[in-house]
Amino acid sequence: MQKLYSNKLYIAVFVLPAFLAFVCIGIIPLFITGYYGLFDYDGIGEKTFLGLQNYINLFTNDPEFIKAILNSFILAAASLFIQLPLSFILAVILSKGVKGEGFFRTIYFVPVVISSMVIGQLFIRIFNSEGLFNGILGLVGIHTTQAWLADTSTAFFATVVPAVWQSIGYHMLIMYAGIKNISPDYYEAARIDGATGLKATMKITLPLLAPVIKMCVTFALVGSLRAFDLIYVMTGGGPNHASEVPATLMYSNLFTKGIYGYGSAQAFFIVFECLLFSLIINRIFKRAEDNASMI
Amino acid sequence: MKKELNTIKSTGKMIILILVAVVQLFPFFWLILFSLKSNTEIFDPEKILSLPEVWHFENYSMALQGGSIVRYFFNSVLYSVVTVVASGLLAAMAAYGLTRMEWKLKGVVAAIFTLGIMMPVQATLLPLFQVLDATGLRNGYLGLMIPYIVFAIPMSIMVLSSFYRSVPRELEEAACIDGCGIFRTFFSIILPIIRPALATASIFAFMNTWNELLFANTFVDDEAYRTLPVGIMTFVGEHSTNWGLIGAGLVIATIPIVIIYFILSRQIQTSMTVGAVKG
Amino acid sequence: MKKRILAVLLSAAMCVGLLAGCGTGNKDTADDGQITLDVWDIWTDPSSSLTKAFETAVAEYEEEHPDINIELHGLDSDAYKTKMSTEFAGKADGIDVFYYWAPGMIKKLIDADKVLPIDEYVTDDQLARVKEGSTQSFEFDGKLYGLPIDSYMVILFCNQELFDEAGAKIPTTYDELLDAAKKLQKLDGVTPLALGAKDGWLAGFLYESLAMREVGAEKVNQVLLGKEAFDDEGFVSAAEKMNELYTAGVLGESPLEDGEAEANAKFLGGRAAMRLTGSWFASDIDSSEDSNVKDHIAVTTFPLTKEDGAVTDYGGGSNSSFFVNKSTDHPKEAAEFAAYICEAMGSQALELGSGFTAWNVETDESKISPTFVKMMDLFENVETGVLAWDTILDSNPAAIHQEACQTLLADPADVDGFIAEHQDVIGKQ
Repeated sequence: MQKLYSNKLYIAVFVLPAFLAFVCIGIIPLFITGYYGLFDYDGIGEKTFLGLQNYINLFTNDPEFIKAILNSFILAAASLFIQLPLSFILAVILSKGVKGEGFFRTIYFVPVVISSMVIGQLFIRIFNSEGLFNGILGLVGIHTTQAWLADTSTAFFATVVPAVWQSIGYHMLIMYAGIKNISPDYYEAARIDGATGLKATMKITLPLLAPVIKMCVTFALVGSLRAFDLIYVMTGGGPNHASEVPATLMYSNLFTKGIYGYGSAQAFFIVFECLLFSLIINRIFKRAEDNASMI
Repeated sequence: MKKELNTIKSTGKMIILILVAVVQLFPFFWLILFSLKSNTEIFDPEKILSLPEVWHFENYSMALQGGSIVRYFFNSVLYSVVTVVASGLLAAMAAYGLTRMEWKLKGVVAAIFTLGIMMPVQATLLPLFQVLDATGLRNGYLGLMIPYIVFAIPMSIMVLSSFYRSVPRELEEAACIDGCGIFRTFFSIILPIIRPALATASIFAFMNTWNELLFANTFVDDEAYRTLPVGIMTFVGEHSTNWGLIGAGLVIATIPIVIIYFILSRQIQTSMTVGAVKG
Repeated sequence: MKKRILAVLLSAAMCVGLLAGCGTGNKDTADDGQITLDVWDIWTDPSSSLTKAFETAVAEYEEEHPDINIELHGLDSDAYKTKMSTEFAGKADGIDVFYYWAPGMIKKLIDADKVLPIDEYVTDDQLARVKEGSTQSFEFDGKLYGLPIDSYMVILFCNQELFDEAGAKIPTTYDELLDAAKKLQKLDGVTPLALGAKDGWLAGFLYESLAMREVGAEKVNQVLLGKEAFDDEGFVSAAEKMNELYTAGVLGESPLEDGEAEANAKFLGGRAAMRLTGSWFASDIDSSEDSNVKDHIAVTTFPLTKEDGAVTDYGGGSNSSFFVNKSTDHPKEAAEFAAYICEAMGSQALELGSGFTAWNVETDESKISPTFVKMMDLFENVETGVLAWDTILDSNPAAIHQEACQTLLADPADVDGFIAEHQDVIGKQ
């Protein structure tokens, strides 16, 4: 077996097709983007070489970009500490076999398959000053005509809500599949030791799910750092850049303002920001996985 | 006493589950109402829950008028199915090579694939367009299909890799002793075991392809190869838009994925219980 | 299991093979003397009469020119702009004729040498049919790049019924506007003026209208073209007035909440008494089925802010056309088609309700929608127009201008910062 697994030819046959395709279509354009980031370029006319000036400007001369990055951190934190726990709870409840398990699992996933444009349009109305959210607040005695999406102090948080909510079903599905994959023997053994219910969940499910959770954490984090669709539909980054995230800022630089070189520099930076974070996640989970393998 | 407590507990659980289900279904329900309303109603925030005053069923017939939406629909099916199959196979093989096989550059290659899930597609639009143009791939179905397949691979690799790690090696070793070659081991032993993971990856690949707009807008020149979301967006006028019509188009686009998801998730369910017993 | 996998693999392989076959061999070859022109446009909405008129005009052209095939490619305008900027980063092979906005956006392409001048292809006859003065957006360095289609005009649409109910009068001056708004505010659930300022260009419309009244259209044009500095006192007082309109509640409580679609729906649903937008909105009003607002429409130009202001100044003009890609294989045919389609669409503009025609044609007034007829009276009495600033300025200053206009509609507004930002980008053209 070992011999088969280190045969160069076999490795090439298995890995190369995907790898070559990905390098040509994915990586090369990425580096072209990084290259455009070195220029003053409007996307159509002449390019003027600037060196690293665009990249330096990102941090020294662009408060909007800094603000956008901070916003994406808030979104990431909300995903990690609100979205994932909720997904986990739902996944645990469903995987334990309740009546209508398949039905609920399908229903919970529905928001994920609906296009972000629809979700965005829906929440524009929910957070309208005459909308559903203020209506509900009114029922509990808080009467307000706050225009959540038009106010610089609340706009970003109002976009975080649907962003966090929309993907709950998505992470739930991954975790659900993971939990279902855990052999019942573990629970049997735990039951004999007297661990059931919540205790079993904490002692068995959580550690054994570490690889799956790592995947969810990575997806949630990366998804937040490059979030675009919903925010673009709901606020376009406004009002006055209050709800800007790096991708919306980049998009308007590339296609609305026509400052292509600078937008490319932003894009290149986003990729490396994501890479940095996923390395950190890898580190953290390395320890968790080692612990899990002790069970 | 304990029994009663349990009934209360499970009823409580059920009520919560149903409440969550209502919240999750709300956007779909709203979309259907939306597709049957006029602009004035759609944009009245106080009428978010109300039924249409006049039911605009003609939005559906208008959306289907001329048949181009039907054509786009089948184009989208083709793009999505080919993407799912091709990216699933390529990713299953690559992930196998990355998790099971022993070689030096494994870590580097894995890291390069991880870059793929981090790439902001808006920024690679122009360079990718230029690459496709330069290689002459920007024609017919392939011009869009290839980017779709390639961009689905990194995520699928990630999903599949984590499953491979949980598959015990004994099965392959037994097969090896029985004299199976590596390809037979992969196709007849590994692939069936990772079916649940493949189904999960397929759902994501399908969904991303089905709803994708930016690439589809930019890489396709000829209307014959257009996708459904692009077709729906052409209902948008420069200054005036019949939003109900867009809603109708979106309903037509959403129902198939719900069905596909339903079928695939059954698949996950059944194969999963089987897999767990085996493991 | 194995069989099934094999079957899937085989069918995938076949699919790819098949598609590769489809992909090649569809270039506009001219074996039989047939020429194919790839024409890009934004008229795709199946519920719009413009789409039908456009497709009919194209079909007629093909009939008259049996050797020419027109291949239409339409996208919605947002996707269209992204597509065009991506295509023109390269040679834009698949484009012969394309719809585009002028003078700002097309200038960028002309500067990069991507657009074909059409002087030599347009006949004197045809030029004579163009209304005087309406080609200036399409002329650069003495060369003509496109013919006009139609003109639009910024209009203050008023719901007469609501005005009567509130006892208000259709405003002709800024003070009357404030006064009318004060009365309209008392009506329950009515926004005096729905601006739709979430869309930056609509926030721009209000500031641009005020600036035109304060500074004068001629001067504004000079400033936008970079011939004069952005230092007139009027630009400051226009910004102050815009903020005053916001604080006085004329624009509703949170004007940045609604975009164009929401504001239009508000006006059509009788929930807003005024709407400041382009003349194209008239066709929405007249074709709207579920509103009785269309029977009570009054139209006017933007109120005067100064007693000596020129009533003949207006916001609007001609700002789009069909252009020819410089690298087209068939310059003559492409230019002739571009000229034809501009005239064909332009001469029907009034009947279609898309704008005021830029061509000397007789139009049967009975075919024109009632709201449009009212606007025609206004259009006859104006002289000097200012186009929307974002269509004159380069894309970066245009975006900065619109964002700055939006900041005047929230607390705290910083008028000095607003002016400084404009001076920063507008002088640098």
